[in-house]
Amino acid sequence: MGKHSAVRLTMSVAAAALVSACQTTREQETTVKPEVVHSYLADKPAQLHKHYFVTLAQGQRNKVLNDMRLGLANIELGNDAQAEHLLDDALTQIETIYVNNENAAKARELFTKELVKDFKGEPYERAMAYYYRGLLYLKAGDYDNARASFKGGFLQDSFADEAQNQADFGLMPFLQGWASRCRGNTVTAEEDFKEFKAIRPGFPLPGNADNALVLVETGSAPVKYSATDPDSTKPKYLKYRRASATETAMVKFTDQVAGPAPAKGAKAAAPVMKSVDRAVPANLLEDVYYQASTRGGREFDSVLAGKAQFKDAANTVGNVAMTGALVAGALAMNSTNPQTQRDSAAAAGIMLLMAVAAKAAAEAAEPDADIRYWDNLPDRVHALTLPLPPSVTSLSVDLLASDGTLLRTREAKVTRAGPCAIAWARGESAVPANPRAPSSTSGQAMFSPVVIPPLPAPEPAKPAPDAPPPEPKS
Amino acid sequence: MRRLMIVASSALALSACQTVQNSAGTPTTYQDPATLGAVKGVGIESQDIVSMTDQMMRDMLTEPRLANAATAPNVIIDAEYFVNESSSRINRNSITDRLRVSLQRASQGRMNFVGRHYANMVQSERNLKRQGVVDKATTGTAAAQKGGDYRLGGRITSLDARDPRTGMMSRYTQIIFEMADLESGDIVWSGIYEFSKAAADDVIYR
Repeated sequence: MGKHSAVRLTMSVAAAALVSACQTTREQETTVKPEVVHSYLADKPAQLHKHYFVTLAQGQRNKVLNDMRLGLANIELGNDAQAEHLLDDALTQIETIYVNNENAAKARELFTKELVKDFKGEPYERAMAYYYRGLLYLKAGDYDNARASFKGGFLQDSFADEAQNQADFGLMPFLQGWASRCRGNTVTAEEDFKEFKAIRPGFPLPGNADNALVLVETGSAPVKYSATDPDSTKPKYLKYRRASATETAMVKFTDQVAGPAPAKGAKAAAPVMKSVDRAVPANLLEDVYYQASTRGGREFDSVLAGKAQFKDAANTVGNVAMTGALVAGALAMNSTNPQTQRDSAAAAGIMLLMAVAAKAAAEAAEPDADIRYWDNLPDRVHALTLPLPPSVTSLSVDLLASDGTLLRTREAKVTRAGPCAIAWARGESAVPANPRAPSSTSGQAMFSPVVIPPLPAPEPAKPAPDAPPPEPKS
Repeated sequence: MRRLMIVASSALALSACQTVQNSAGTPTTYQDPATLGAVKGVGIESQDIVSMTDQMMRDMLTEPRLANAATAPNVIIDAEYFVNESSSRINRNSITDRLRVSLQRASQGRMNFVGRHYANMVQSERNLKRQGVVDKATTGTAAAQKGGDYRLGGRITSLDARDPRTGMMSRYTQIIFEMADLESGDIVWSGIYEFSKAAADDVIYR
């Protein structure tokens, strides 16, 4: 191979690496026409307009992620119909089997980031989408579909790499059992609770008289980050850290109970009811961080490992070529022989180009895991079932630190649509502070303010052709 | 040296670039609900509902107690006793509605269909007629709303399996339909529809 051919080849490799790294970027938010934006936002809750606008601007790549976040935020705001629509949309895409998908194929490419793929979430996120959809079905009294949702969520957990962590999402079979019980289907309820007991033997099952389910969510979502264990035999690039301290929940309400029976011989009268304040602790039913972090390695981590190996190898080649270029350069400068000077200078030039190409390729390789995540999920879910009289329409929930210090108090509205009631409370707001989900767009854009474009001002009406000209102002 | 500068400047320029995905979208197309749709999963889909209800309708019409009785029986076909125990979220009405409409059209008077899901609507109109708020209309009055001779019941169940090694997921879905005699409890007709689907998602989602 001649010197010129080598130079051309090196330049081509460098350019190809750089160009391919650019072509697949799907991170940027698109510009949407103001008319489209305002039409889209017209029937959406004002508090979430910026979040919805981001959904529109980020498009299909983050659709599931934004649907999940907004679905949950809408549950908290009491917009159940919106939440149902968003979560149905997210689940439809989660359940869609991706075969020969162009963006999925791109995500596997050496010079493309994993996060170019359409977000479908990790198994714990998918399971939680089913969980929230199931809660909405429970609220609506549709126990069949509630159970189907929880079952769908439970199936997502079978992706775990380590056998002991497969299908251990206890929250789901518990709620399956509850939905079956509310439907009056005792056979499936027994089976579901049996499955649940195998996972959480210590958690109390609903009592015979229990007709209300209370769910309390505490803490913030597990945070994803990308890193690898150099000592690990299996590559694992997606990691989690817990974002919240332990919290517990105490559920309080005022019950109406019959007063003492009249004394013997006294006239029979209507029983006197008296108010009794009750406080019942909610038990920890699910640790979302645990579910996220015990999944083990993903199949895709092997692909990322290949990309990382390439990056390391290309870096090494770059370093060697750079050293060679320096040595050849020094030789050219120190030699007194003109021929040696020319040859050494040429060699130094070629090796420098090789170093640049290798470094560029190493830089362009994208071994980082996709760290977009559902950031308004809770850290833990606590639950309680109890017999609740129809007179109780809301509960007070005290959230306590691990030492028993009262952190805050929340109200949980009791909803009854069938034979069972449900109450749901959050320790932390489910409305995300940032309209953008973490890592959902390129670095700089993540921190730019979300500005909804104003509608263009209407054009001034043109005067009719036969109208008299306006009189000049005096 | 000049070429090196060109490469370096291209690298700088290109590393800063980011392109926006401007998908042109897909125009709306009509799809045959009886064939496999563009979006596929392992749950119950439109082609399953069409195929299943057609099969059940044909089968029901071969049952003499339903379709060849001396007096056309009153049947109730709705989702009230049609239970979903599967892992597929589904609006059960989409199955029973199609079955009822198809049967009514195909039976040509051999069965009477009682709209029990309209009972409140019917009662409201009956009350208005009897209170004299509205006239008696043209078809005359009846002593009471019709009772049913037979009513549809059924159950959807599923068995799910997943191979965590390959990501292959399979779901066997079984749907049973039964027509129960509303006096004796006899099951006078039953039908079963089953299918199994398997698929594996792209490796990036496993």
